[in-house]
Amino acid sequence: MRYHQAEALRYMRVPATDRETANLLDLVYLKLRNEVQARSVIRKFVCTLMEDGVLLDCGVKLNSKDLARHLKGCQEVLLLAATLGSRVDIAIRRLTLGSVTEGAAAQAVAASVIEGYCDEVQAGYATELYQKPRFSPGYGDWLLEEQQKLFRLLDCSKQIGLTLTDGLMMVPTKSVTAVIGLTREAVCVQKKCARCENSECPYREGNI
Amino acid sequence: MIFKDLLGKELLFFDGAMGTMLQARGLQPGELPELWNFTHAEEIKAVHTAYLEAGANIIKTNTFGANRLKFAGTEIKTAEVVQAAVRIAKEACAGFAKSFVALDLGPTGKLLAPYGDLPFEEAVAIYGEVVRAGRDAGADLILIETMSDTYETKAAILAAKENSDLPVVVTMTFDLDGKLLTGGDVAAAALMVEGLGVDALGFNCGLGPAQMAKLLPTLLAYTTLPVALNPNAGLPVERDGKTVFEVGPEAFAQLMHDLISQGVSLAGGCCGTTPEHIRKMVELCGDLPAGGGREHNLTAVSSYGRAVVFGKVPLLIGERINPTGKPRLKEALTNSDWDYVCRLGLEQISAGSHILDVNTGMPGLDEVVSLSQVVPALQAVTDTPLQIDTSNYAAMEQALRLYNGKPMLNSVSGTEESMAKVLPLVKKYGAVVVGLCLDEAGIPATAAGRVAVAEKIIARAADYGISRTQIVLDPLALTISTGSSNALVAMEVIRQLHARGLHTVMGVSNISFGLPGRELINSTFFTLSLAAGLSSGIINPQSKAMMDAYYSYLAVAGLDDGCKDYVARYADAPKTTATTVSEMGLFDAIVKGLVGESRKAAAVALTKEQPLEIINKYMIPALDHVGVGFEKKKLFLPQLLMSADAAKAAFDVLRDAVGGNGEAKGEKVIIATVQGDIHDIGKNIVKVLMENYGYSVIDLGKDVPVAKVVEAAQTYGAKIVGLSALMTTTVAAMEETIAALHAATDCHIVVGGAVLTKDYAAAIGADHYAPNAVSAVNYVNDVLGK
Repeated sequence: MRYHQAEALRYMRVPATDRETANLLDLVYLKLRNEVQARSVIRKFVCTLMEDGVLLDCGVKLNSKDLARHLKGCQEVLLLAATLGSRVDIAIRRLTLGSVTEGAAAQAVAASVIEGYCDEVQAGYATELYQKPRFSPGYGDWLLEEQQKLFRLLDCSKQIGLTLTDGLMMVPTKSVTAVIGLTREAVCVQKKCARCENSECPYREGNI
Repeated sequence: MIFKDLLGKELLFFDGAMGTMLQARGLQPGELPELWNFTHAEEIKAVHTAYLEAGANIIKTNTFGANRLKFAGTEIKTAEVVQAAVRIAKEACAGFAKSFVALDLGPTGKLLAPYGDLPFEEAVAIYGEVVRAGRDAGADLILIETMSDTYETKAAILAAKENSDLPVVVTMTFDLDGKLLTGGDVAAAALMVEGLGVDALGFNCGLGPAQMAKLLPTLLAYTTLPVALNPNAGLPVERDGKTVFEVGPEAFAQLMHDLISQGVSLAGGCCGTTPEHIRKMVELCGDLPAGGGREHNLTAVSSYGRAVVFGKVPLLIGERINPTGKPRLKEALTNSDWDYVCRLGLEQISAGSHILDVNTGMPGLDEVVSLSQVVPALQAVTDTPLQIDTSNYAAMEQALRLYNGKPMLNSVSGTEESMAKVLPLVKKYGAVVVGLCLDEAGIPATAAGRVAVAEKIIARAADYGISRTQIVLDPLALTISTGSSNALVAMEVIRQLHARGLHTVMGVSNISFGLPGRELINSTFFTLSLAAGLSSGIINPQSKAMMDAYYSYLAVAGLDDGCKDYVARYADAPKTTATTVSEMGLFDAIVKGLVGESRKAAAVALTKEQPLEIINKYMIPALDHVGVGFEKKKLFLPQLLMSADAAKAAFDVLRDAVGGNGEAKGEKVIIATVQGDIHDIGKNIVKVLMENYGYSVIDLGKDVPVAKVVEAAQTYGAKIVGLSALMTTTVAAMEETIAALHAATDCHIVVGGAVLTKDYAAAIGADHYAPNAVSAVNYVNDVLGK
């Protein structure tokens, strides 16, 4: 389990050259790493792309034009859920109480750890096809309400202890759910930020 | 034949997987298996029958996910699902001797507050509904299974015991490292579960028999109860996109034979196991005896995360969360400033506390409310076990109920009233209780008199079914300023109780009441008491003298192997403790974000100037300087935050100096993350910054209902309310909160959050949009005329 310093620096909204913040992040990572209880569940589904969404072979339809567009050319998708566990949330709260600086750094470190962990899980999933970037409920026109479908299909709470609040937030908070398209074309692997429509986002790569 | 007559006396077999069997019969991913009780009753009965024919004694009803949360938004009634399931199971059992129906309770699928958003009592109510339906339908026992969170497990056990007299078996799911999904280990979970009065406990799911073998010895060491094991057919393996379990019936039976021989009383299977697995296991193991219960001599408490055992090294119980004589803590408790209370706890943990004493009793404050807020707040930031310290019985029960783990309770005395009120709570919630060696006649003057009271408490506890291992005795230290033999008596009590194999706990510092140089007396008395056999001391772990006494005692008493801890603590310690005076002024220390320097500079400034002057002359200009730099993008977020931390450290020095009498307190500002949203990092930064400017910030937390914000604004008469929302989905709640505030109050509303823009904020009725924390503070300064 590692954190990606450059990515954490971006989440802290500082230039990649900021050594002082880099040292802070390293320090906070040491405080956080023993709290990480990373778990994941990943399943493959055959899919049919439609105008307004994606129909999975189990009969569940994911409603999002943007998702359907994103998955163009895919006949199969992976559904992924991953979490760092509730002890990370507890540790972030604890660190924040002592220092908002460490609290913010812990948020950034944990965010980069969960992203890195998802990459690892995907890399460990044997497939001859290329994997498109992760696409999650809340992206584009894909409503957060659809999160419930992924939770049911992956049995997230039982399998990895990941749950949804009534307001559809994931707890533990350092968690990811996503659909990953499987494709024969190697062209679509691009940076996450580049295809997002929010060009004003303060966290966008290149905006700092 | 009833289940309890056989439990622990005769090896009984559970059935195997239900889900695996239903999938083979066509259950789809995402489909609710419990609905098959209506639509495929014969299939369910066939599965039960297959297991009974294979030799299972106990079959689990098809109710794993049957609760009102899972059926929300449908016409399905939980009670009907449960009753149908029990009915099918009972029909299947007809004709099989020694067969029992276990009402199956699985996880709710939600994370409980404060870690998630399901309130503890709601979880108890959700399980209660299932238990009542199962009880009425005639289940023989309750099986709470596949639990991966101690808190949810506690809710389920309370529901089972408060709504039925049925025997309760609990099996929890651990990973390869022996951890629950919420991080707890086997010892911590076993202590809590046994304390809550179940009949058997063990493991299911997650692991196969081979992996459970590694965890079984710990379980056997930490429970006196019969043990249950329902493993998977090995670890899951991915084959052609399908999850399969590859330990076959023969191998499973062989592995289970080894485990059962170690002292298991209930054995069956979980995911991937089939009637064939059960049949082979029954054939091979059917003649083995049940392990039954076992005695142990363990006194231990736990949190959701870990266990703390008495009798290894003396334990330190941090005493500082107690408002007596602490104006700052009183103020925090009055203002519901739980963050301050939590910081007091975290400081004591850093200083070496193994357990934290928690006392919120003070005149004019409802202790039932304050204690039941502080306990979960502390458990949201630490897994150090807590000692609930109150003489208010209602507050005691609430706190014991909400505590996540096996609590320590301070205290019961030898008076009839205390024993009659406290001991039933100790029994119900599985606490380790502090027994005070005093009764109606007062504190006996002699050691023999106090030991007699201790024996009385132990005997009365036994009447309630409480083992002597669950009582830690307080010999009572009275000040030596009023009786020169007081210390000697206390130490003699410790010696006598120690010789009887009993554990002790003592508030050490009373010994020096009324004397000068108290730390000297306290630390000497602490050392001598430890030598007399004291098991735990309630002390201030931030007192250097006490910690010096403790660590040197451990080294001398052979309790610090190779003097490792002692060396680690003292090898690099400075030879003399020269008082370091800051070279740096407060302004510079804050601008540079140096916490330690800032604290020192504030102390220096206090020797010359009044707190308010210091704030206005150095702190606010420094924060303004940093704020301007941040807005001009000369400084980045980390520098802003470091300055905020440094200013906060200085501010705490000033507040401690004025004794928390409110001199440094400013106008009230209310902040909250709106309902539905649980992101609070931005809100927390704003809070610290505003506090540094001298505002009294009422932090309502996250996911705050509209009505609560309005109520707080009215109660506190705040002129400003700050709201945060990070998601597009929760901006609606923000708009609703703003409308309600405008309708009911005339306060100014400032909003922030990643998805907001200036126009968007205006459209939902906010008075000001703050793109960052500095902007929020500037706005508050403008409105309040600073």
